[in-house]
Amino acid sequence: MKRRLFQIGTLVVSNSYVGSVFFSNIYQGWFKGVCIPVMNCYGCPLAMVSCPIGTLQHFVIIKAFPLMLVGILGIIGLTVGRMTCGWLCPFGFFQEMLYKVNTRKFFPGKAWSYSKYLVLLGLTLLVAFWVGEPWFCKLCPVGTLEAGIPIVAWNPGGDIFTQGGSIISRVGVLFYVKLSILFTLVAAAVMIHQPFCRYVCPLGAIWSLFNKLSLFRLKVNAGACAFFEDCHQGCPMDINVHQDANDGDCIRCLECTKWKCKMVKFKPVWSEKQPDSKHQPLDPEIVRALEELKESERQGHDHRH
Amino acid sequence: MRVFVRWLRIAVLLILLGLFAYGVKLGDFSEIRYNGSILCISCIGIK
Repeated sequence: MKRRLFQIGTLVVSNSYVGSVFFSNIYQGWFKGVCIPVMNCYGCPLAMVSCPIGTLQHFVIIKAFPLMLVGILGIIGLTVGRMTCGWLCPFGFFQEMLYKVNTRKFFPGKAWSYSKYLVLLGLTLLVAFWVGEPWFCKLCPVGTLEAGIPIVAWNPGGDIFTQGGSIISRVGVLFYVKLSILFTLVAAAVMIHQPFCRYVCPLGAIWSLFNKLSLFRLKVNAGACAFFEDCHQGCPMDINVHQDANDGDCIRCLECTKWKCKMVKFKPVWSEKQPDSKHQPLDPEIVRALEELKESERQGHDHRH
Repeated sequence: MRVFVRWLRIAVLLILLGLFAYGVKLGDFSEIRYNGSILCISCIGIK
């Protein structure tokens, strides 16, 4: 619930420029110099802040090093890893809501999650460098949802939108390509948990590099989980928390810290002497005692039925 | 070793903070604000 409030709060705060409705313009004030650490299209008429990936591409195109952006992404990544994906991203929230639709669910496999690094390196950086245009933005489903559809549906009259002619009359093929990408993603998000975050998001790819290095990270007390051998199934991102809690795909939603066994905790690295989250083998004596206890419980259960 | 890694992390954080501040000094903030203030109409799919 707390996480939902953060997600909705970010969505509202970063898209709160109601002046666009009255003046048919976009926000051009001081806050547009701030890059919010989530995917949020600054082409949205209500947007108050800038998108880090759009900004990154802009700096690549003008062939300048984005010192401020690298600094802020590095500071956040090194502190909490990919936590902004799970707690702040409005598009992540949108996908989570879609996944609640009651239908058959799929997990395409871990190997596909490396595709987001290709999107970051190829489409976001190299293509922008060679072509000189922000091609990730041109295809980005976040932009279609937050800017493309609202602007075309609204058809505003301000100069910043019309730029010499009505919006509706100038809708091009790219708009329909963008729409089809968005609809494909929406269909996928109903069956796969957060497919954009897992397989496409270049910002997620940047954050995921920090998950194992961040100052705050997930720590697993393997000894506490012997009774809950299926508890890794509770991870929304299908991560085997027992094997590697700080996997690059982990969005730090902290759902695993709510498990009954309390085996996973989100802590700063200096808080415990046991440094890593890898599975520590249990003492064989303890394992045997636990198995005996489980067996006796099972027999008691069978007996009752 | 662990203490070294901890201090290394703090040092990297300070370097990143320095990068951020230097970026602001060089005008990155104004550049980001400028880029965010112009609507890329072709990015939306409008000709």
